[in-house]
Amino acid sequence: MARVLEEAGIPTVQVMMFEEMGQKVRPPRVLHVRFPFGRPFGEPGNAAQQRVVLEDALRVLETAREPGTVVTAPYRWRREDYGAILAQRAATPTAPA
Amino acid sequence: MAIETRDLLRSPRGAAFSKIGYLRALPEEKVVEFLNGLFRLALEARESGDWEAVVAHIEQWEGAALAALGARMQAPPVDAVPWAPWERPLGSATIALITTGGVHLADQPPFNFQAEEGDWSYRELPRTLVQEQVRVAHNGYDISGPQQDFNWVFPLHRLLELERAGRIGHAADVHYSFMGRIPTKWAELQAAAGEVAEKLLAAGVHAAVIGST
Repeated sequence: MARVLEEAGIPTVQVMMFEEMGQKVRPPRVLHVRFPFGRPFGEPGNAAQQRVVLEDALRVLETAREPGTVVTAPYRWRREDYGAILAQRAATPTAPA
Repeated sequence: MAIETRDLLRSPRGAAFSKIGYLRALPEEKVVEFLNGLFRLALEARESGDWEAVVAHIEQWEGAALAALGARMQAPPVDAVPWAPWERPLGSATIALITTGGVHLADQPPFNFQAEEGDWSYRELPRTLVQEQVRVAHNGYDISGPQQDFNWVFPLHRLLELERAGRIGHAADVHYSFMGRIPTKWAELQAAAGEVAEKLLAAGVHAAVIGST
């Protein structure tokens, strides 16, 4: 699906929990998260995590330079403090790439 | 008493168990290796109070399970990767979300997730979506997530926050939902995705974030 949109001229980034499928299907840009299936944007009720993952996906959109870019997020399932990550991002804004 | 090793892996349905169950595809001695390691590490963790090694073991073997699953997966043949360059500041861009999680509105027909060939139709989801309107029709993942909070698979409210914060230009007025279990009807799925692409272009959407399930 990402490939169809991209061919039509719409840049895409896909959040995937299954790296091997990404290697087979080869979307143009992938954010790979090591989360369980069905949890692409994270844990139950964790709005901060949803926000972090969405921001990361948009970052891949902005910074990917090659078709087939895959960025693996470092987050460990249920062991990160996403509120702290958002606070740190607010404190140190990054310049656009 | 003989024990079927694979019976020990008959894990409950649910997201937490969604990856490890694929270990059943590995040879029996590998399953035994996983279970023996888990047994030993769990008892050691009880002694030390540090469960990190147990989690690392589970995640290492989830990786092995997924590698085995990936090796035998069917996918349509692919050649060159298409590329639409991203060239505008995010703060002036209109972004749409697409989910494969079978999310639909209560007054839309559900996805036919039980059809053998899958269901490649899509639904339009408005940016005004609220939880009470949401239904989930999919049997390939733990849908208890989006049934409680659709943002787990379709983070519309987070996208609206980014719009309010000026991090993106606009969240699109219309977003899209598919039901991702489509085993073989890839041409039909491509045609449906093509329709969505045309609608996104007509609506002035600059990029799409796709959430897998």
